Amino acid sequence: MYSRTRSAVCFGMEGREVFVETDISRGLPGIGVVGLASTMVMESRERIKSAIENSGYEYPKGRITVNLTPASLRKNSSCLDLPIAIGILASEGNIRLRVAEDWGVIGELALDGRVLGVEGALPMMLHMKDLGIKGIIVPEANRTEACLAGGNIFTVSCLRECAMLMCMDPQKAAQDPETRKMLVCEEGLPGELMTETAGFKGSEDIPDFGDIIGQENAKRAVVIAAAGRHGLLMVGSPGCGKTMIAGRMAGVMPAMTGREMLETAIVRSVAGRGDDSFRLWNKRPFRAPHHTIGRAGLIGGGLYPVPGEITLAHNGVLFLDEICEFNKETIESLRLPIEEKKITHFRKGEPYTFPCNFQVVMAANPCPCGYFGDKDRECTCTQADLERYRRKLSGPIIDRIDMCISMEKVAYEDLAETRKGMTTQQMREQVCGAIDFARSHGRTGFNADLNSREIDVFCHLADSEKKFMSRAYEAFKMSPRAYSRTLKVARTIADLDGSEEIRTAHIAEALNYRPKD
Amino acid sequence: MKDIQVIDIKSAEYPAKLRDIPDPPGQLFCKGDTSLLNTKSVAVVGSRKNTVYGKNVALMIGKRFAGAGITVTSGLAMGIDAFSHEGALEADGKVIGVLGSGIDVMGPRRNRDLMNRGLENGGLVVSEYEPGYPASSWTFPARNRIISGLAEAVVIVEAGLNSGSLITAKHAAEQGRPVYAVPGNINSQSSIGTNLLIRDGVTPLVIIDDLIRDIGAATKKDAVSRPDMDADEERIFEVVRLMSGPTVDEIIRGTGFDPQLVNSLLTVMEIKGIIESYAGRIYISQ
Repeated sequence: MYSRTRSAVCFGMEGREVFVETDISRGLPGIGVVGLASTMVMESRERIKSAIENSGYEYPKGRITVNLTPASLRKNSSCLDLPIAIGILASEGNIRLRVAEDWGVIGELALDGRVLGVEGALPMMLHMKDLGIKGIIVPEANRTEACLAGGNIFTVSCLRECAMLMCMDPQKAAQDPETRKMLVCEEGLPGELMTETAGFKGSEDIPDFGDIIGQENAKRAVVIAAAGRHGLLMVGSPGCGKTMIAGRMAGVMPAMTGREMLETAIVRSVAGRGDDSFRLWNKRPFRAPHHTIGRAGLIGGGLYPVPGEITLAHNGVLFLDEICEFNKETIESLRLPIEEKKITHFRKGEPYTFPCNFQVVMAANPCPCGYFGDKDRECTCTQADLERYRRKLSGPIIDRIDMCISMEKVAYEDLAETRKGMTTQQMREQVCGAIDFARSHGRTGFNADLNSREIDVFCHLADSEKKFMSRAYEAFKMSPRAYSRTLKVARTIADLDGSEEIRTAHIAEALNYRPKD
Repeated sequence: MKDIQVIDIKSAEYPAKLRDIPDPPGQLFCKGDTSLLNTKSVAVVGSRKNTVYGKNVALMIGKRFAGAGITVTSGLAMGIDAFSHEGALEADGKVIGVLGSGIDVMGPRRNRDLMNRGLENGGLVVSEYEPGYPASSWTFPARNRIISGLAEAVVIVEAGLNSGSLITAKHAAEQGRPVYAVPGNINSQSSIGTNLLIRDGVTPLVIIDDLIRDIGAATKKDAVSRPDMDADEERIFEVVRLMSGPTVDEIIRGTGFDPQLVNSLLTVMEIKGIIESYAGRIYISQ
């Protein structure tokens, strides 16, 4: 007998619709799965057999054929376990599906018949919702993500529950007192969170800049970098607070819009951290990969591509500590994604696109031993070490940042000082003010992304400023690239100042954040 | 190779002052103006890893000697050696570079550029090793005796505890050349060697003109003018002068100005050539 159930798989960052066709015919007992199924899907045969038997159903004696359509879509997810099992039960006549087309099912099966959580549940649910499927069944473990998706979503913990639900009409199931408790909620839980006006609520998890004593110069640089999304490089000896600064940076960025929150939640769901999707719903991510990370780990990859660190940092901060220790090719691979704000991997002719719009912060020691220029400790590097290190820093890395600051350990007098420095709250207000100013003057993106035509329009200099800039160009032996970078940073500083014109003071400050030797 | 001259120890061109040292080289391979061998010259040497202070002093000494018509002799190494030559060349002076390898064998690219600039300016490169002779760990200490041997006096600008410049000082003392050491802060790692020399009786180089007068050359006064500064810039200048190499944060604390004002003024002052930044610290330009 034939049956058909609806399901979905996660393809990159989106859900794709999948139909599971099951047919049981006479023949030697066995099960065959066709439809570009990966090893993970093929293995489901063993799980399904045990799960069906241990749930108290009889496993069919005949020849089972499972077809996953569309046949051209490559499927690599254990989330098809549950729809296949349901299909087998329906084909055998163990359960009588009412209207199979009304239900969409995803879930992985354990041998005892329990339903386990899956990765990428959020985009799959959203897709099924868009398709107009009346009732969606997901594993209990993905309940928090289901809250975000909203709609007629039921969570199940075992195969029996799922089979019971699917014998009902979705509308009825939502009302029936027995099944109603499986319904997540009709509205979608974080109703007020989904709106763009949601206030910033999540700062308690991100440590506050007020904890950092001294380092006012670095804090100022952080404000500018966040206001214009400028890449920031901090150079300083070990223990001067580079990591502390970077870890607090997400806090000064403006509150996420509803759209950004949803994107970030989807990324977390696809990365298998669905609980974070909910728990950290309105928190910008902070990612700090270790410098031994490879190319695939950083930008994503794999046979069935999964997101890398740059995507996990989408809408948040990517912190690359000890930047000189990173593999050169790994850093090089950041060029395109930083420019395009997304990364596309091609596998068998299919594009998998992941977003990666992040604030990049890098940190480096001033030399291999870390103590070059330090007041108290002698640098033990040779001249050749220093030269090699400088070269490494100056090539592909400097190209990707707009601002560079030197940091030094905080002096004792600073630690003893009672005067409190800028707090995250104050800094965020400045950042938001600058971004609002830019929006009200016709700039929609961030200043770091201004192209050369936009620089001409928005970074116009008056005569005296032009003269100052040309003097600086000569004095600091700048390159054309450094020139436009300075203009962009100066534009952001002017925004912070609430000034439409870029003044000499703005340029001069921007110049002080140029990379120095 | 054809522009390399060989001067034998028996030749009249061989500088008399070099012949007098305990272990004179048998022959000198020269490239450039060999008449410089018999001019008044001072060796300026020091550590390869210099601080801004060392760089400024080396540049200043090179410049002043060149102005007084004194040839600046050095080892053409990175750091202090290079800056002393750079200073001399800036003032259009004559330089002698003494190599620890054959003349056509040169180490880092930057040194080669500096050597060529010296030669273009009528300078001289000398070595006791035949062309093609590779540099090794013992050739450098050995050539140090030629550096001091060719000079009337030796100035050590900056030297750490185990710097090769201290070997030059030892040679100079054995050869009867006066040695001058530039004093540094007693907590500076780069000046320990020179400060110890001073403790052991070497003359501290406090006023450059003293040295020029000591070796019997005429001093020349050059007026130093300070560029215009407004009140805020003066304030920062004072803080930088008093703190000797503060960080931006220290200037912010010292002046009480906003970070944005300090950052912007520092750039303006750097363009004016009043200050310079190095390894995250701010210094007053010489």
